[in-house]
Amino acid sequence: MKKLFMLSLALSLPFAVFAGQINIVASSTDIADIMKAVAGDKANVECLMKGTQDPHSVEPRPSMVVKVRNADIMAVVGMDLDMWANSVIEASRNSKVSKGGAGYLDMSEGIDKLDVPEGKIDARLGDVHIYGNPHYQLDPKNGIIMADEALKKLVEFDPADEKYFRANHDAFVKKLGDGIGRWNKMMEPLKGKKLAASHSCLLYFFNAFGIKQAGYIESKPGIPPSPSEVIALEKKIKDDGVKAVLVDQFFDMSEPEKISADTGAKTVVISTCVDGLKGTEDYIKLFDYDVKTVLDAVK
Amino acid sequence: MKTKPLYLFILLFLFASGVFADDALTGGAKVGPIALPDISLIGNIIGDWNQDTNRVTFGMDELEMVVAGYIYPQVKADAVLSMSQSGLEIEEAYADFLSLFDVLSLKAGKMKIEFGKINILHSHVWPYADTPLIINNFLAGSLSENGASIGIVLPLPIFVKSETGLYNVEPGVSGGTGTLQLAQELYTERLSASFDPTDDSDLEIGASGAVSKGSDYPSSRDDVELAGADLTLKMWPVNYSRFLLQAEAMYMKREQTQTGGLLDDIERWGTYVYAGYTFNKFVDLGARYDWSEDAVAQLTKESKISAIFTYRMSEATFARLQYGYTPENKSNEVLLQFVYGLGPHTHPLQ
Repeated sequence: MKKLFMLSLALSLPFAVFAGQINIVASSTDIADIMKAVAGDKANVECLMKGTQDPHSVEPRPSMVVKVRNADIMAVVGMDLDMWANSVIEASRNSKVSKGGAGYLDMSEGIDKLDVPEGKIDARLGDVHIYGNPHYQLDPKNGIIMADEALKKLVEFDPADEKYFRANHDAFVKKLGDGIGRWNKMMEPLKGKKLAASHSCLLYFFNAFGIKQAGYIESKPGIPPSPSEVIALEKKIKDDGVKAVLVDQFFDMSEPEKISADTGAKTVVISTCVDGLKGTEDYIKLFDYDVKTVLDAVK
Repeated sequence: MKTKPLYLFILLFLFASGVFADDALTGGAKVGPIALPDISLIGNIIGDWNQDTNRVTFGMDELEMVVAGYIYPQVKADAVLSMSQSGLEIEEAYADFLSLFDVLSLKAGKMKIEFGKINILHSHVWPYADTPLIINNFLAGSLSENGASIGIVLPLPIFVKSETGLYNVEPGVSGGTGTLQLAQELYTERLSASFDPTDDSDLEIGASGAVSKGSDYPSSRDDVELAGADLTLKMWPVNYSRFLLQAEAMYMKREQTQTGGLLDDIERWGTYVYAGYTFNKFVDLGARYDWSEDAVAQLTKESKISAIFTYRMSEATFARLQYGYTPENKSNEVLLQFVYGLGPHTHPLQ
């Protein structure tokens, strides 16, 4: 009987550790970081993916189900980017965090979405997201909207701690606002200039800093470029005097390196999410790193 | 099976979907909420050259139409219609109560049965083009029956799931010579546990059991017991790369009445081991070893060695080349597979 009691105690220990805290699960590292900033020590925040993983193609794992089963709040990127999280939520049988449940938080709700397709969409266009480009976290102003969404959900869940959450939110927004001012100033020389990129996931980043896109290596999302598409991009890079090709941390480097060699434009790897590269451990550091890396490349 | 009403149903459904979908797509995502189920088509084209028969076949092996959606909060309905050269079949059609009393799930209708690791998965998501020998011999190629199953994910720090099912078997609908054909009721249980040995790996161990009657019942006694054990190890060393090791073993015990009332126990075994590596977003290489006894009184043993190359064009579309060698017959086989998906796709927990 004593052994049975000890076994029960051991099995329940992982749940007891965080007793009294809100269990938050985020599908992406950016969301996890913002949720941590706003929730502070009132919550235990876990993330389903790593910053080094491509958010389009994360493979659902049973261990994710265990995390989501115990969640009070499940925060997702939405816009069909993290569709894999839906099967984890379903498998968890946790109705409060499934879509429509009180604990479900779609961070894209208040975002001004870019590249929302119109007309008939099919695979000829590549892997197009029907609700628009879902990489909105790469505009730091959207970080403020995400923090607002986080605050709203946390207050709904725990109104007694509203003051605490609001103070955390305001501090985060202040820090991010300072960052936005700093990054805008630093990126001023690039305003109106053209840069190329690996993939349309950098659209919000370009938009945030007034950079014009000279073209994408993957002109159709998710589809490797044909030789003629590469030639056309190389011509555009040369004609427009593009100094750099920005590449997200998941992208295969062979094509960008070839384009660099052919055109003289530098290949720059930047992180598209928190913890995607060393030096991007939180949402503010992500932009500190990316802005500095881009500026160093075009000097 | 009466196929005419089903054809009419599909035509009507596609027509209705087309009408609404066209409206929806004309305005892109800006038309606002759309209350339609998810409808998708999955085509599985297979070319096969087999030295034994010295024949080449090529064509649509199976076309699946999947209709899925929520019918109530926490209740889903799924239907999978399968069209192949053998006709039209409702492969699955069930209601899935995702959260009963917050801990249980219940599926009722016709469904793929949770026995072993890969029977529950549709063949186009397997990492090979053919069916492993034990699935052919002990599960007649695919065990999909009418019934109900109840599942629970146990409240433990690791993922432990139990799925218990009761089904009515439609006898003799699939499988070939040497395969086990079930009859009457089928009771199943699968218990699986999964944990992460490291941050970048995942290990699942499963055990399955089933009790039913064989196809000789009720004219004679034909009690069937099936047991299975499976292991799946996944490792993700770098982004887009994955190592997969999967093994299953099955055991069958069949007690049959012979003329004169004597009992003859048949005991059979089989296994397969698959190992594969995904190099990047596009290329997979794998190999599988099969060994299995058949499931009938006349004992034969068969093995097979396969090498598989897959090129993925997108998440739902790929081309595959597979070479197989059967040592017993010293025969070679080459399979060419092309799978495509139209419409929304899921990322199932596998």
